[in-house]
Amino acid sequence: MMQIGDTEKAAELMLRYERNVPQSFEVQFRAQSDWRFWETAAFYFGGVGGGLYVVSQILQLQIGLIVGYVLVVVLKNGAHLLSASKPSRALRAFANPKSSWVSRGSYFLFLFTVFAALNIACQFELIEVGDVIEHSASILAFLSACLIMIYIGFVMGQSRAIPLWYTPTLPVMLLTYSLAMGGGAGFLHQLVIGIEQRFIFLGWWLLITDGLTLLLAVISVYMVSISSPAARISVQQLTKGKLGVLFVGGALIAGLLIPMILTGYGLIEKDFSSSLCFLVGILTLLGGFMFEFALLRAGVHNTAVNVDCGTVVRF
Amino acid sequence: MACKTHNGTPPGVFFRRVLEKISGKFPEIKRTYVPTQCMQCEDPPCVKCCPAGAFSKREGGIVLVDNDKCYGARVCRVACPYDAISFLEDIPTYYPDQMTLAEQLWHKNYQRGTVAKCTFCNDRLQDGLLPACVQTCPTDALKFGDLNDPKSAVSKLIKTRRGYQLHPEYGTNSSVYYLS
Repeated sequence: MMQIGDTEKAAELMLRYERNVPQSFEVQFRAQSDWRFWETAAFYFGGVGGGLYVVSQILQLQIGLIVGYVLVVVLKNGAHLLSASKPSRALRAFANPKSSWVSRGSYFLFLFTVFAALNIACQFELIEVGDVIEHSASILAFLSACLIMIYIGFVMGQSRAIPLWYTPTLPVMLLTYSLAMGGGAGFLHQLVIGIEQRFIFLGWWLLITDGLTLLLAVISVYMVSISSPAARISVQQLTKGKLGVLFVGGALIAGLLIPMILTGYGLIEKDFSSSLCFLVGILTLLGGFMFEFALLRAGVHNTAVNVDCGTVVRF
Repeated sequence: MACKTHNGTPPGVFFRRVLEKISGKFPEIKRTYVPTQCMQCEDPPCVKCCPAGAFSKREGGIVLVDNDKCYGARVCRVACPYDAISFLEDIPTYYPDQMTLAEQLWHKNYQRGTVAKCTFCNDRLQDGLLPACVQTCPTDALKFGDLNDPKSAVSKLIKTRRGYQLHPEYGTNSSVYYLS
């Protein structure tokens, strides 16, 4: 119990009070701070894993199927569990598929876990099932991998107060970047196996998906930059400062543009050296992480109260 | 104060905040105080996007959250356009060595790692009382009533004083109106 005149205690209480009271009660834009590293990691592993699985299924890359499966089922789910503050209740994520995209995503993950496992088991001839079941598992695993890549865009789009995320291009952009990352991971996979025909396919795959993503990113950033004030703050964050270096330098230039140039060179010369493949793969994968990270960090909530000219803007 | 006292919210958690809005340009500066809280939306984004189904709408339109169902995904906080949901990362007390009587009484309602929000003092409503903020406001600036009844005092006030909602463009159709 505190005694009158106990100055040390009073000072401690004052410090405690100042730490706990929010810095400001002004109407202001609020930077999204709820989803951080583990959410980024979960979204990223879903993108790379789903992309690699799709590429591997098209190119019949058996190791790629397993790596893609592990990325999605172990790492993505693991990151989701680490991001939840009550992981023991995580099964409740299945409770609201009628309206929640996170819940729908949990079902997509479940479908992928089951059908991709069945598909891999069939590919490695671990089990004998009929042709119909084998083909159905293969198609359903492919579809659920695509859904895993795209649903994150809808999860982010459910937040209407964050204009950077509330765009129709976001789900498509996340899908194309995931497919590009799948192509990048495919290049790394091919370093080990090395079949010439597949390099050509992967080269075209990366060129198209990278090009589409770059185009969508430029269109999205431009569209957002001419909309609401919160959106303009997001664009400022994405194009300037540390986050700008990550998004423009890391995600767009190093992750998309340079791999496009390198693959274009490889396709023209019809020569995919190991160093070129390694560079393309690594740059695409690193760029993808920076892309997801920057998108999540640049999310800015509109003010809770309708804003007009002269409102204090503070983070 | 009435809100904090009645709900015993931990330090840093405010179900009801009075925001300071500064607008205009010098020398025509205008300062307005805007109380904000959970808007008890007709079409609440938190109910829609919560994967755990922890949010529900009570009869009468009040949005409630079930702490036992929440697993801390914080999708509701990201989706709420009114910044009305608090995430209880920790449940500290105001004094280091002891819990106040209100804390002893109310902290059992909160769970670390889950979310909490204004429920228009649902417990008081069930006892036939007004929400603590409405009951306590010394200037009678807050009114509480049935929006569905066109003859109720609140419906009449909204009509005569040109009541407006915050961010109607989000389509949430909030149940909290501000009078012009």
